[in-house]
Amino acid sequence: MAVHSFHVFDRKGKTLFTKRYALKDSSSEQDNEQLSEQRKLVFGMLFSLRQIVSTLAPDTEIKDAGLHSVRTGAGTVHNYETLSGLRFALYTDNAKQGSGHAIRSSLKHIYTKLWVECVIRSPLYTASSNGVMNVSSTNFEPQLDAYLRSMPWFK
Amino acid sequence: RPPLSIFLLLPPCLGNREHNNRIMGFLSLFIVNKSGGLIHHRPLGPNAPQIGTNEWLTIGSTFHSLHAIAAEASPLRLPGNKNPYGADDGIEEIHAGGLVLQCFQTRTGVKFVVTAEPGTPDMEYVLKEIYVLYTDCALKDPFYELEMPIRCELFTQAVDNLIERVEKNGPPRR
Repeated sequence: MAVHSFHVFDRKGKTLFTKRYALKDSSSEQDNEQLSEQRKLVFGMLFSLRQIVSTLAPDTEIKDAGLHSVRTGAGTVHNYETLSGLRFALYTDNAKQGSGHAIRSSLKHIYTKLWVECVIRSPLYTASSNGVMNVSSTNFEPQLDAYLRSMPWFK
Repeated sequence: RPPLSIFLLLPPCLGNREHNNRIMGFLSLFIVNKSGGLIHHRPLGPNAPQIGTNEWLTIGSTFHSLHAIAAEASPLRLPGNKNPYGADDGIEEIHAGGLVLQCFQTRTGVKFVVTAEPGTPDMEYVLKEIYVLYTDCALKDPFYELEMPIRCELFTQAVDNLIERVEKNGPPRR
């Protein structure tokens, strides 16, 4: 199973961090604008699906509510959302189905142990949505890479 | 319909119906035509949420758009954007807290969507069978107009029987 991309969005839909993985053949030469448009689609889709899903769900109390994963014929996006509206999205292919729980707990780990430690606790962190947070100045990306590569489902 | 902020806490024995040791949790069925209009919706079990007609229409058309957007937003693409059935690629399955949703799109763009509680077995079988029942009861009905709402008593009854049969026996083992 291959990881293809990873995005972090804030509550308003702004991309805080994004990275593409596992492009063996870089035939898809998309420029930055196309990628940015694609990210807007990702965020919009996850946002709207969350609303639909909460309407369609039965009226019982759910421990881990919210959208977990969306699968199409081409791949799956795994979604982890925090109470503050921070959203982590991971695109994989459909090679190994049924590892949804493992990936979800990985996303949770990425948030609690990597994002909080590297980004939020960084002295350069700006909590307001107007401030520009430069995630590349923190240690987040190398730590994220190391963590993902250590996962058994990452190729 | 009570607002979503009121959650009813049901004990597990009422929340998951067990029938012959099979946990059955089918929730709802809805069918969307190729323009995104809702042509059918119905509950499939007792835990199905109460959703008003207008809200169903919104769900139908929103799902129709998101179905296509999901294929475009993905960094991966199928060749020609077509899945092995010949239909355009799109949402096939959604996992969320308390809900699993499966969608089957035909080559003509009709989308069959079934929702169920997590752990409900045989969702894919039921989804395909509902498609067969649609072809038998709605498409072969000489008075049924394509893309219009399905109001065939035969179809409703057949889906009732299907759910009852799957709950009792499970899908036929070939």
